Amino acid sequence: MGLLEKLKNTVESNEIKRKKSHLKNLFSIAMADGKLTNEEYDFLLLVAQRMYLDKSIIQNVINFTDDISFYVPSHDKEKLDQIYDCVCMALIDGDLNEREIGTCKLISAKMGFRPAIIDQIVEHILNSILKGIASEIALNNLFNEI
Amino acid sequence: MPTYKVVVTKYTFKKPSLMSEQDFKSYKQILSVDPKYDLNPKSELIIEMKIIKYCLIGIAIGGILSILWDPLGVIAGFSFVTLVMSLILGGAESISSHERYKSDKRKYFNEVRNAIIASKSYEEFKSRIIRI
Repeated sequence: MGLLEKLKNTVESNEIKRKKSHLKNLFSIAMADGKLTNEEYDFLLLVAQRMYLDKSIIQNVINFTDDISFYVPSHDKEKLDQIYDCVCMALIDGDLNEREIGTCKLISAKMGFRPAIIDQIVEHILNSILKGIASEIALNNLFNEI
Repeated sequence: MPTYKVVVTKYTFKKPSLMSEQDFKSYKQILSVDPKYDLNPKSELIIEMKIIKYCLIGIAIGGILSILWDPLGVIAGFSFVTLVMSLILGGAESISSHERYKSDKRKYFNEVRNAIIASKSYEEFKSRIIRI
């Protein structure tokens, strides 16, 4: 089954690979504390809907996490959008733990950001969410800052 | 008598300067999630390797095309000669030097990673890193 899924993932378009990689990242943050809460699952659904993906894709991501490769977005804007979602996922259950933030930072590092910048990005997004600043404004400010 | 020039590029790994305390803390957090995270920055493909890559592509494409039309085998032949010449004229030695450089770099960053994981504070990390 793993091989079949791997093969299926290989022949999928880059667009789908990119979207599935993002969902996988979100899922790994949700699972950082060992459990997937309803709020976290709903957020996964929301992000999937926003990317015009079917519910079944989420199930596929959950069942075959290891078969989905990490995809580095080509533009910084897209990277920041994804990190924003990751931080939202870490905050969604109202319980922000070190491991969830550590996973957000790991994903940012894999995207090619340097540690000093990563701290700045994560902190900026966290503060914007806590202050209730709209994501577009927060991301625009952040994009201009880095 | 024809003469030829062998050009060998030597690559040596130079240790980077000590990472800041902020970087250390950030990496510490990242490595607590994924202890296998690779700190080693990716190396660019060197020109000698690019030549070999293109020659191998040329040999493969030329080989396939020669099945369709014999004279097109010249593409594979030309690519093969270029490959051999580039290896003889210093390419092989440059690649070998670059492989040593990559190995030293990988080893260094693996040790840095282990030092970050093992250190409880930045001071301890500094004392470990000096010994690497």
